[in-house]
Amino acid sequence: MLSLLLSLSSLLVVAEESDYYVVETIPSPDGEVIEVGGMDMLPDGSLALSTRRGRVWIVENPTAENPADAVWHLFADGLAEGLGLKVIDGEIHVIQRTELSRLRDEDGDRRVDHIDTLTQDWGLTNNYHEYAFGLPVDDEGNLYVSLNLAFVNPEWWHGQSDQPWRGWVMRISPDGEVTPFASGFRSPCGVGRNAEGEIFVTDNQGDWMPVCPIFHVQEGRFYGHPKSLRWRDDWLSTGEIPTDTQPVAEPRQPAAIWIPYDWSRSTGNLVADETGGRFGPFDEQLFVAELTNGMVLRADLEKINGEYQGAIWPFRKGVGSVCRVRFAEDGTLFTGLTNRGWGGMEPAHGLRRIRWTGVEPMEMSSVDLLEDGFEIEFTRPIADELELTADNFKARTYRYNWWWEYGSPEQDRQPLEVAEVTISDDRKSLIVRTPSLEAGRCVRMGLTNVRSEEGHDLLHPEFSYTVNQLPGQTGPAPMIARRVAPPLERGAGVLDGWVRLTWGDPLDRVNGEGWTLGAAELDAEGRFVTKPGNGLLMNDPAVSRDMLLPTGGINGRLQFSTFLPSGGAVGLGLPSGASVVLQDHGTDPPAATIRVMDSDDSIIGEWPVDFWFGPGQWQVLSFDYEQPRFDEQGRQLDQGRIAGIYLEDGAIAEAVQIPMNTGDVGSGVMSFLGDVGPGGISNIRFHATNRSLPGGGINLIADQAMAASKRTGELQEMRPDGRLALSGAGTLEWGVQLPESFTIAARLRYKTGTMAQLDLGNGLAIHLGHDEVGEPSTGSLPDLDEVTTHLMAAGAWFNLEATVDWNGSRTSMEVMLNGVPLSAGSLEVPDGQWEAGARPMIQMQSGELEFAELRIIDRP
Amino acid sequence: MPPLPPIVKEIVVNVFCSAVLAPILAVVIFAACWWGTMPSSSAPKPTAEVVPHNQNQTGSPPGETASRRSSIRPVSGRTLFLANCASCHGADGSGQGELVLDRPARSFKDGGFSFGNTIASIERVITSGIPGTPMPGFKATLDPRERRAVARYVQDLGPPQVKVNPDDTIMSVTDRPQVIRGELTPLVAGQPSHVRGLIAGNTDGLSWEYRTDDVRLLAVRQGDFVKRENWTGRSGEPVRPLGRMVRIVGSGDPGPSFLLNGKPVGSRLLGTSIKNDHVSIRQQLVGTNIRIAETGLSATVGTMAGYERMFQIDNPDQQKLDMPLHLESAPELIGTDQNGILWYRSSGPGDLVELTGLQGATLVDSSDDSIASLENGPKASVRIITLLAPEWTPQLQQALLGTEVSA
Repeated sequence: MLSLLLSLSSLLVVAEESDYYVVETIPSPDGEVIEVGGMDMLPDGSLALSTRRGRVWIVENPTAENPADAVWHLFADGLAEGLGLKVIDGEIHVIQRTELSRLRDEDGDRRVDHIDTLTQDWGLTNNYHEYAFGLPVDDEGNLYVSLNLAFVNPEWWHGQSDQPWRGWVMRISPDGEVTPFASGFRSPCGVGRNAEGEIFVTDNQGDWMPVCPIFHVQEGRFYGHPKSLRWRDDWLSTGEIPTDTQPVAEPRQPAAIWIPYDWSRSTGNLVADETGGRFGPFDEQLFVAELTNGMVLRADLEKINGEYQGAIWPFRKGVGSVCRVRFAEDGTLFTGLTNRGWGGMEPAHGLRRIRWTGVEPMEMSSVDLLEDGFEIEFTRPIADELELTADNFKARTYRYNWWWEYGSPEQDRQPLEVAEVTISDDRKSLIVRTPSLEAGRCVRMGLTNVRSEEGHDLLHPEFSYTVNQLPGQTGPAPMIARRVAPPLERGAGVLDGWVRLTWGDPLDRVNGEGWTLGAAELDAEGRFVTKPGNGLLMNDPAVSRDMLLPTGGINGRLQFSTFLPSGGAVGLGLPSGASVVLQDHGTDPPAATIRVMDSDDSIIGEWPVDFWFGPGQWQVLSFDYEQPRFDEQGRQLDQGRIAGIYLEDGAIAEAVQIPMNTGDVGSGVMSFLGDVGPGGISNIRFHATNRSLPGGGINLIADQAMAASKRTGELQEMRPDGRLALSGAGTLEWGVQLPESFTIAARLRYKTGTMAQLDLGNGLAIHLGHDEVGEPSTGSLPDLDEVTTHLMAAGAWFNLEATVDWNGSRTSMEVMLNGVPLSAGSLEVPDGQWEAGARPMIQMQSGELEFAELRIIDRP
Repeated sequence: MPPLPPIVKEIVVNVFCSAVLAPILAVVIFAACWWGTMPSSSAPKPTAEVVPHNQNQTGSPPGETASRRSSIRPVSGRTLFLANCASCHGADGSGQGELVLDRPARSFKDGGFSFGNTIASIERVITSGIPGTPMPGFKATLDPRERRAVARYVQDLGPPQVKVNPDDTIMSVTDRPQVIRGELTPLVAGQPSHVRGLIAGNTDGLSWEYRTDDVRLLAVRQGDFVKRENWTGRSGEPVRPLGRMVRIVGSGDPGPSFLLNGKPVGSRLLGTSIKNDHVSIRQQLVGTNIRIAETGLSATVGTMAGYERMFQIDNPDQQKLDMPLHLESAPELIGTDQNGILWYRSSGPGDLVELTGLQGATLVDSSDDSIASLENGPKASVRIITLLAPEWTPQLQQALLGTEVSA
């Protein structure tokens, strides 16, 4: 088997980014922590850089062949942060938290003599998050600055604009006059211009920013975060202040690009390649800093119906916490690193540079949108022998929610059918027809098995295109970030459909014998430390048993956060006995693989993990599992399938079939393997594919049934849009009589602190709601099966299906939440004590409970 | 005198050291305390004075760089070095130049200098050369500004003299003044903090604390400069001054610095400049063409020590300007010294006597606040000198009016 794998791998020509673009470190001055906030080139070829710590350095000789030959001079100290720097006519301009300044060296000794305050005219509190970023200049000499919102505890996730112009991009004239330019920004870390001189701003995912965008900033427009609007004249005149949670009705300017979350989580600045080809074949395209994933992205914009939109790709990974990028004339791309106290990829600070090796990579050089598809150009001709068909293309479309929730998952994902592929005569471009393409959606398209004539694999085979509009479109298109009903509570919106298997009380619904609950920390050698905590379930391969999950034969997505020690691993057991192992290699830079093995440990497939951050870093893995399939004759075709393995949202492997074999029989459920590790996991969730409720039955929240109900105590009843909302303490009893065996089908949600139960007669009841950890939680069956894990997120709608059976001596009940069976129990009923015709009743102690559906379905 | 807030009492105790216990002349002790915390010349260089990392440094060829010189603004030490020094000392300062001399040129990379490694000493050598060696003087070829730039550059070629601890947030003033911008915490509990502020530290050991949203001097301190905690964590922390309080202005929350035609007027920060080893704070009065540069100096009269605020005022429209002095009691005129400085006496903080010297200004009779009326020529120069003394004695008066005030 091993030799077969080796021979297979030797046939593959794997293109590495480093074959084309090398990353080098320019050593920082001894002992100095360089957290780069701004960079620009001085006329003599030196690099001027400002730091978050308020210093300005001049790096002489920054393009020297040996990066250690660069010489650092401390030019200025004592600035109130320098998160943007621009050289204008040889003079260094820095945007500080408190002012925009020009720094002048009068005597030529490389130390600043005069710091001219060009303006301080914007509002500032002492909130840490009120950063000021910059600093591109337009052709008229105006400078552009972006002003962060404040993050005020305790609900820091609602960005605030407590002083004028927080959340705005400002234009500052050469003589210091400040004009509020555009509104609606949240944490706009990067301000830059494209080759045409237009101003672009990146923002960071969070409230009202579903993912990180690239915005083309135009005067007077609004970009989505409502808080900044309060300083606009029309809002000032009414005195109204946008709320934390309600969307506003203002027209929004869409992002030119929404960057997929798995590519960028914290975007820095962007810069156009105007080096005339000295950086490779991407003339005038934008290069974008990304600090959490530690890389540089590449964007290609075009104007459709007069507005910018376009495509984006990963460009160079493994650079570190890239906050700032800047080109030197010779085609060197300087990357300034800073993670400013947030998690960002190592190295977290310092100066690096990316240089083109001169070998042209096989890349999509551009993607242009057509009315019914895309024209993709390549840097090199596609190999002659390759026959590309629609099967070589896999595409999906999606949109986002525009809401106060912290970011938005991709919504309404749809496969995008590729109908036809045409290669140009010179084999350097393709037309990909996707007739069902619509405006108002993002497209993610992956190409497989594409390589150049010379045998170079397509280096980055996936792009994302933001289709705000289609060419020639008339009339408005829907926004990709669509206005939706505000979530009730934080996390509620994104948790719709999920079951949280380890939330709150982690080991109640999963069996974790031999697993340790502790803090997520590593020691200097990269091993787990044993500190008390509630953050991480860790195993020890010598003693841990398999952790069995209640998600056996259900199709769906299993998702968990992982935190590995150096060289650690985590193993997922499938019902058939096959397994999936994520293995950290313990290397620097970090690397990991995913291996799928059959029950006899033979390898079904193995893939490198792209975007692996390494030990001691939280990352989210998802597995889409499908049950075994059968042919028309009822013969089993496989032992199940892994439809996809994803790190964050990025695919590692898709469509992995578990073949039939004669190996051991598995546990029949999903599990985390006790003897694979050591590894750490937390926040295990499951999202069943089929969560639909059975239809029919008596609708308890219909007007007729409600009219025949009785309320006691202080129970408040509301009927929003025909739903049933209950609050306070008391009971609600319906007049309907329960049959012997029946199913309850309900769709409901509740707020934190809700304690209620649905009584079903004969000693059976289901607890609804949760409060403190350790107390009964949703799905708990009093006296039969106590659930203390907070399986449901407060505020999130979920489906509850309870089946009750009476067989003449025992009554039994099973409860499924969002399609997953989670609690069950049965009760011996002494002769003659079973009561026919019991009536359903809600007993509420506290909180708010809301039903969108509540039906009783008879099962004779 | 009204009762002092606790912080002012503490300041007075600090400034005053243990004068009460000392058996000798309080004035002498006051002066001794005042300068007692100045860094001595042998003290190690503080951390903020970062000498750049420069191992394996190579320069580009002198000719190439020199040809670009005209486009470089301002003239850099490196360019001048390459044009004038590299032929003997090597482009990298290693002493391996193109010219072969019977006595090898100095390598600067080891940090060795014939006559000391301070900027001033290197500058002297550049100016005059070293007699008896091939090292010529550059007095005729380089102007003082260029010689200073070359001296800085040459000094930087040497090995790092100070290791910087990345966790070390202390910022110090050594041979050159420093300015730090950022948030300032209230000087007196209950007062607002100032999110826009700056502290200027001069080489004489005094530091000057201003709010800059409307430029107002808040305090004068003496001693170490600042702990810059503003970038720790995720930023947003205030700057922490380390000096001992000498004087809080206007109880820590003074009104506008200037009165225009008798009414308070705002002052916009134009910038800070380091010149002649002092920082000046440049400002413009709101709605006017009046520009003012304020420089804080130390002042001594005999054995009395204090500070001076020097104002260079551009007042093209010759508008009437006054300035509140924030004295703690009604001042009494003592007399005029030989420099024409008018001296006034009032109660200072604590039990101290405050002596105020005015030049280019006169005191306006005012019942509850002491207002100085400033000269309103198109280019006025105003000095306001503050001395604090433990008690008022005839000897002090003699010293004040009979001796020149040196700044």
